[in-house]
Amino acid sequence: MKNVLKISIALFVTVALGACGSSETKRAADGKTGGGESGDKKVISVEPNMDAETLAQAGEQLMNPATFMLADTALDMSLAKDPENKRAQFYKYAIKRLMTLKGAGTRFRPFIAANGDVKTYDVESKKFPNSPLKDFLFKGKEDIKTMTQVQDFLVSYRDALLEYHTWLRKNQDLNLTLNLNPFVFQGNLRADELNACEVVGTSENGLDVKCDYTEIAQRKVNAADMIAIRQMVAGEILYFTIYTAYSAEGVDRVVRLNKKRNLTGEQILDILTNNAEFGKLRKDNTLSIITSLGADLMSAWKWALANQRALCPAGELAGTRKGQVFENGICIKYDSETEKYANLADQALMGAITVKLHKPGTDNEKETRVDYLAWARKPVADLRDIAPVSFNHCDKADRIKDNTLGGFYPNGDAEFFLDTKCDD
Amino acid sequence: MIRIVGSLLLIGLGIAVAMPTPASAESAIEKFALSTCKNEGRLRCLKATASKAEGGSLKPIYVLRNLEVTLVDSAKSEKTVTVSERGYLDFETNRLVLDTKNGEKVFNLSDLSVNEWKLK
Repeated sequence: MKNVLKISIALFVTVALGACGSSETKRAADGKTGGGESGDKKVISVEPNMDAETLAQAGEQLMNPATFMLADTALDMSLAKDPENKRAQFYKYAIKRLMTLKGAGTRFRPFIAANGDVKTYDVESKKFPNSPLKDFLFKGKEDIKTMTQVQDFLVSYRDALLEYHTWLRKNQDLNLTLNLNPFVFQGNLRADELNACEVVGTSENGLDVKCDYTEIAQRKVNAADMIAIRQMVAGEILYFTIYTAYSAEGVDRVVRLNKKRNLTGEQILDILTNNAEFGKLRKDNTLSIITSLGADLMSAWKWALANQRALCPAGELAGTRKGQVFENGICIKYDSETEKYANLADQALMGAITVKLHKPGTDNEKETRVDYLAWARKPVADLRDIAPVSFNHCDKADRIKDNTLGGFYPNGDAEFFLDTKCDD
Repeated sequence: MIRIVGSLLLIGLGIAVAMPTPASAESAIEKFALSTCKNEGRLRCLKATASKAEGGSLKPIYVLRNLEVTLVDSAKSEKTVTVSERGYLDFETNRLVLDTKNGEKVFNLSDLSVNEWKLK
């Protein structure tokens, strides 16, 4: 490990915080709120003779999308000196999952070569600007070839999230003042410049404005913010728990065969169910952890739905057709019914509740019992056990093997709620 | 793939370097009190008091200290009191969450339902 890092960040900023760290009174009649010089350069030194807090602060200054992996080194050095340094812990746990992305750009290449357009991928990779981030993402072995290995990769990301969530719970009353790197967060700081000013008087030429920039580059994280962060992390956990619960082995084959999107739902199901591994509950699944998220779960649910589109662009994986079983690959299907799920209450997450639901595409409404987290409490061992057994003439599943859908509909009326309506 | 890794980076870093407001913009309330009633066939009221409420800036959440929550159901002539050293008020999900010995007790402020999460 490098024990000395000297990082120069030369960012040509048009507005630097010239008044940062000072208090001043100035005339604001011309509408300007301050300014700075271009071509500023920031040097962040990380040296072994620094104390733990100074190293943590150096790591803090490196917290940005281009250099977080360098921050990780500084934070390690800080924690080696003082394992209890909260600033270093705060950032270390926050970027732990990002560190699992190391080498991802190269590691995934064999998988992309087998299933996608590797030429385009290579061209795009070469265009990536030379930077510590490029080294971080592209230095590695080409070792991810199968869907199982893709999921193993996601498991390490998910497990880092779980560690972060546990740390946030343990340190729920943490109060920390963060010092932002003004070169990286200039946009945020510029916006806050105005908030740092108040009108103290008026005169012929304009207003007298007093600006106090003393704390403009600082952010305070308090106990309430720790809960907010914990809820967002819980949302990520929920999302990646779903992605990593069942073997997706075989989905890659569907992608290859369905490039022209001409396979029927029945054909896709055949391909998947004929793969011995597909749909098996993974041994390292964390479905049972979902209920231990406690009150965070409701916010997590909302977060996962809100970020669904960003995390799972349409057609990224299986590329199947609209209305089919695996629409948009293995993503959660987002529609008006899903929107309703976003309004779940804790009660609905704790056990089966009685609700009125519409049969999709009709005005038929039926009262039933739904256990939204049945799979978290007692996971289905093999997705084949709940798979469709027949499809109608417009290729929509109209019968399924288990009419409780793995306990989701305890009354055994899952088929009623299948979307079987055809457009013709 | 690059797109997905990019999304992960942005979302992950978005949370890692969450942007609270400046350090000077703290909001704390001494001697906090909240009361709300629902009348859906029977009148039920919730009253919560706390020695202090401290607001965050990332979400509309207030951490409460030394809480006492009283729930009154007029139809059943029931009055239940729950005390806790710590809890929080989450206006995003409209819930009051109390830390308990075994987990969390959740008061839904929309319908005054109460649920308990047992945490490992």
